[in-house]
Amino acid sequence: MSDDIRDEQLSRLYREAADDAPPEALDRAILAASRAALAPPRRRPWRPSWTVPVGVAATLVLTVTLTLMVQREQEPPLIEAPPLPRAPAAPPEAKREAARREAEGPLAAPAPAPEATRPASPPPAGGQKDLPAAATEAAGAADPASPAAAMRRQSAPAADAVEMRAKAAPLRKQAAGAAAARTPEQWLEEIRQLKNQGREKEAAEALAEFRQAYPDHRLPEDWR
Amino acid sequence: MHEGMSDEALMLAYRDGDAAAFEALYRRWRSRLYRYLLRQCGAAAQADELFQDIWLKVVNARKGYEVAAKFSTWLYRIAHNRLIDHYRAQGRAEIISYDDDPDDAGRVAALPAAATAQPERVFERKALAQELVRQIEALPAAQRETFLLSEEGELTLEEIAAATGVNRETAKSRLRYAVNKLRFALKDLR
Repeated sequence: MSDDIRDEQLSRLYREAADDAPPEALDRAILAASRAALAPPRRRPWRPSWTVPVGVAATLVLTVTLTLMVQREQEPPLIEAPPLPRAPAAPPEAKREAARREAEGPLAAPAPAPEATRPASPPPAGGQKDLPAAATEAAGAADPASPAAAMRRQSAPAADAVEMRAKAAPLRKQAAGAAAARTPEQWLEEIRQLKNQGREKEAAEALAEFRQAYPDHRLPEDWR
Repeated sequence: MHEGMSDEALMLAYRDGDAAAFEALYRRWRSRLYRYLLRQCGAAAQADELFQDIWLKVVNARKGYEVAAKFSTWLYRIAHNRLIDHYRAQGRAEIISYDDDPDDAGRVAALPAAATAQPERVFERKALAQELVRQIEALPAAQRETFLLSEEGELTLEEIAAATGVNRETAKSRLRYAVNKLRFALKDLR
């Protein structure tokens, strides 16, 4: 202590008054801080190591997909847009026949039939370059409020038609040779003559060709 | 477990990760350090703030702690510096009164008379002790601090000098003045 300078009576008296102490809340705060200082630093929450590369890959795939979709919408259709019927007075039977021939292509179309089902207005001039405009115009007629959506609706069935044409092309070429020279009635008469002559095999082959060329044509009653 | 350990050993144990060692050390010194601050500031709110700051400094200094002096000397050295900062921030005159006044001895007669000088209360020790506290708080800052370091910190003159950054003779002079003033103020009450 402070040696001979201290006054023992004074010190004793002072200690009798020394009953002040810090508040308990202060004690708790300081002790908590002392413990917290010893705690190891908190690490970042665990995160799987694969999340970053997977996230980057997903972003790339999404970006590429969106880019391709935008490009496809901006490109002109690769196939000829189907001509739009502008003759509302055409009978339903003629419309179905026209749709069938359109799907089969010009090689399969019998000579007389197209005249009845051809669209009333001629196709737009200018070739393939003008096709998007034509499609847009047609779409606008169907749904003026949404030309882009209409364009998409138009291009989808056209693509299907191209695929169907490619599949049926060999068979139709074969049948078309026979169909081009005669009407269905003439062809059926020839087959009937083959049957009458007893050339059943040739008659069956010819009938098969006929059915490929005219699948919807009604056969005679006695052949069914 | 920690009762027999010295203050310095407790602080070293805390440095090495023993939280209970700090708590034992804190329990030993909390009241004495708090009273040291309370007598200096005179306001509990300010004492609370300084008290917390000082202990947080102790906590933060644990990594570099080495036994270069008694723990109490180190602790009161931190407290002294924090108190000086507090005075400066407050713009209070105590910082000036830390300069030694050669005429300080002459002020003894000018000290206020004891407020509880009535004869019927002279024998009330509690009241006398409270008057002592009041007289301590009326001391010049340097003398008050020296007296409190001697009483609360139980520091020697050399340790008081180390804690307050003065030489031993200055510390001794301050303590002598403080004790003499307190004796004089209480002479009629004892």
